[in-house]
Amino acid sequence: MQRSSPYLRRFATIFPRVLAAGSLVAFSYSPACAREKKTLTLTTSQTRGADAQLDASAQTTNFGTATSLNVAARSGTGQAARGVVQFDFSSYPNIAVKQADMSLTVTQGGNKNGSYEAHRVTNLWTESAVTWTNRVTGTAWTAVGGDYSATITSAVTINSGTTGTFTWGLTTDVQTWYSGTQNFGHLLLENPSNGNDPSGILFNSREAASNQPQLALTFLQQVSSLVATAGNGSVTLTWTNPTTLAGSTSLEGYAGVLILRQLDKPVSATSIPVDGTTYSACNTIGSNNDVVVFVSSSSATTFTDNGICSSLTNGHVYSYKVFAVDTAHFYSTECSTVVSGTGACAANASAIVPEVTAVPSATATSEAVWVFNTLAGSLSAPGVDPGASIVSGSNTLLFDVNPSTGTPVAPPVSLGGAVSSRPTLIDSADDSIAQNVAYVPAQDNFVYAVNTDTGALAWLVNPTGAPFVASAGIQAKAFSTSLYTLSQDLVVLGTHNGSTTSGNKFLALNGNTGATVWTFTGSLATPLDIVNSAPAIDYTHNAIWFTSRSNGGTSQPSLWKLDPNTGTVLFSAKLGASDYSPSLTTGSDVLFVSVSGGSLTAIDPVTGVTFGSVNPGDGGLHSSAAIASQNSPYTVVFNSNSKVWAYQFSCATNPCLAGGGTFTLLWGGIAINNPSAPFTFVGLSKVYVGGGDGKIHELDLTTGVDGKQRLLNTSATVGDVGIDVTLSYVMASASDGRIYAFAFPF
Amino acid sequence: MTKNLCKSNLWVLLIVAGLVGLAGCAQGLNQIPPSGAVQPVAMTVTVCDSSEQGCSAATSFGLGSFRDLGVVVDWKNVPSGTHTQQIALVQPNGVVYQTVSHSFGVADGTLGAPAINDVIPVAGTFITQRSQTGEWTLEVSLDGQSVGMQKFQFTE
Repeated sequence: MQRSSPYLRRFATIFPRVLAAGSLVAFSYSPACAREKKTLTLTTSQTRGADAQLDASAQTTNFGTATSLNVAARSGTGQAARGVVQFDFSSYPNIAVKQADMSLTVTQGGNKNGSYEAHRVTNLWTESAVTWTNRVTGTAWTAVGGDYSATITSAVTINSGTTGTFTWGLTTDVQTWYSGTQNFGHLLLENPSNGNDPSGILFNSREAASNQPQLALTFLQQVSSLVATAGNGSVTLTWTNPTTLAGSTSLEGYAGVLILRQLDKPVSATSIPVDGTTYSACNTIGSNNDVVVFVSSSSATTFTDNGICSSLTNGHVYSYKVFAVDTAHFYSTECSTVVSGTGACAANASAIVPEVTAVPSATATSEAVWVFNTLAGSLSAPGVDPGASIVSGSNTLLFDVNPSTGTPVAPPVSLGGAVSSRPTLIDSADDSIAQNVAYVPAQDNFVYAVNTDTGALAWLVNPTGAPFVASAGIQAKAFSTSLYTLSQDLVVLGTHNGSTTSGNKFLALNGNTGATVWTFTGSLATPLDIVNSAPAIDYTHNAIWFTSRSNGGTSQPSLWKLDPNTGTVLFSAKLGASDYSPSLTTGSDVLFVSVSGGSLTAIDPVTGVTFGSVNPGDGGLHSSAAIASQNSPYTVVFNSNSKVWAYQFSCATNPCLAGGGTFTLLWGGIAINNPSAPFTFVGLSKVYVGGGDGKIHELDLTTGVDGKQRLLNTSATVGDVGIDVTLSYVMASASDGRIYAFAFPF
Repeated sequence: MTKNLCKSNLWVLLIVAGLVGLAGCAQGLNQIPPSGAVQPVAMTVTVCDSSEQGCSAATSFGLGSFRDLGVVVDWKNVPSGTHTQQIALVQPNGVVYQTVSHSFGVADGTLGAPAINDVIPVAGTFITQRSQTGEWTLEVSLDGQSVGMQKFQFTE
């Protein structure tokens, strides 16, 4: 039994279960409260919380487990002690923050009166490794003593010898953590009133037996389970109103919702209903002129838009955003609580407010199952663990989304650099780390292993000092044959060091720890250029295949086969640069390799012998090949510059291997503006392609007919799609910064 | 009369300065008001093909052979302390594609003039794979305050 990868194995073995698109659920309403206040205590059980001391007099000492932390200005800023504190918000993924106040219990006062300043930390650090000089193991702060914003978030004066509990207002920073800024916590430093303060204060850390750091959080929850159903000139929305979280104090009762609508583009993240203001239907909000279409002062959980304010035009996409609102007219936006007037708002204060889209029609309605705003349009494709997790990297944040509802499972995970590719997911039943985990290479030279249940970092490493653009591959121990002699999973990936055409690296990391198992650095005879795509794992022959660029021509290899046990090169070929992953048949008897702007080449995965190649024209290959057949003849689908093609590769023998085979055109020349890589797999009768026309196209695998489409946003480019075979959802990122999910088949 | 003329000239200078700040250029000089410093903080941003030595300023890059985007921000008169520069790469449709943050320190009692270099991968990303051509914008901020921007073209 051959397995290509655990992820693909799951795809191939789980037959799609089709759900009725737009099926409605009757929601019951429970009495609820709106603005809630909850105090978060930072404890050692919180996997996403941390605190530590940075000490200039012990510059390489880690204080991550200390029970009290010192903040002092011993002899000017050069001999300071500072504290770093990061709270765990993982239980509050779907809220709008109105106020956030940090309280620390000071057990020892300073020698002098001092101003104790809280600054936002600007670089990633880990509690177990952070010191005055280093932020994570082996990686220094840019500036010793911590990288932090020069802007003082909040300052508190503590007089000499004073103990007790003191509070810092952190509202604006916490709001931005929910609306697009990385959360690396806060740094506390002392600015003494005069001269130095050798002792400074001591405050209790999360390791203390009592009086640990606390954060008083005031917030509104968002509505959930937002669903749109399109009709003929109408759209019906349903949602679930939130109920007060256990342990929260209610400040006001919910009053209902406010719904904004926009035509042919999303409701803007900067369209913000002003707290304390009441709105009426047909008011407009923001420079985007988003229209208020529904204001509810009841427990309503449904609204039908029959064209209020202006009639709905069939065939156009309508976007809706649903704000929760309370009796004091606070809206679920990232705007501060104020007694009167407008409070300060985060830059994208309504970015995380639930939204959805629908296309009304007389004959062919459609609607997104859910829409999720990732706050950046990097087109990084979502990684899918069917029925369990959707993980998408966008800019420097990683989003963990419930695939059924599109609501966040946890607040965004802050990474040190941008993510350019699809995260690689594997679940605990299949991996050696025994966690549901996403492996995420980033442009800050780090590889991150993220627990997809909590968003906590399982590990992070900087193995080469070079950035990563491509996804990682996983060689799972559980699916490997006895030829694989290592005792744990391997995370395999290549670097993108654009400053060299010959000095890049391909490496294998221990899936459990991130430790480097081996590194392939190329050689004089086989120099390695940048790697821009994920590798393929050949479990049958125990080999790793990957592609690379080749110094602008065919003078260097661009196709590589390595031994997973040692990293030894087993084969390489000079096919010309490739930015696309190689594709392996289920039986590992043919490897398909796409050369950028060139041909699709079929290769014997044992010997490396070329069986044949095909170039359809139209600028040559612009994607990997998606393999839709279990056995020969293999149907492979790929795209050129502006068209989608399907060929059959027929083997002369079964399996192919030494017997070779030939390509024949199945269908081709299906025009799609700026198409994404086609997505299909064994058992699926359709091919899904994202377009530059803002649509996901559904092509018939047998005929190529572009029969149905789903419109996301007429002015957006749609990225590579992902499919949840358990839920029968197809989803894709778009250049408008959102992930859209649709039920399939269309 | 003289007074009015001076006033007119001042308005012209202000408008020109504003246009420079708003529009940016291949090597645009931008300033933010001083925060206690005598000299205003200023910066010049240069974008280039990172594979070329010295980061020669350019405003248009063909995606066919392009590898990575080099960004050099030359600062002047930055007050002492720790600072964070952020550059945001904004797509032609106005949506942020990617941000890169870079912290740096300036020694006590000095005005810093660091040159901050960053490289943004382009080859093999969706910029090349999906031919995201058009006018892109590089927005530069210091400690959360917008300082200026630089426009450039990605072409086929």
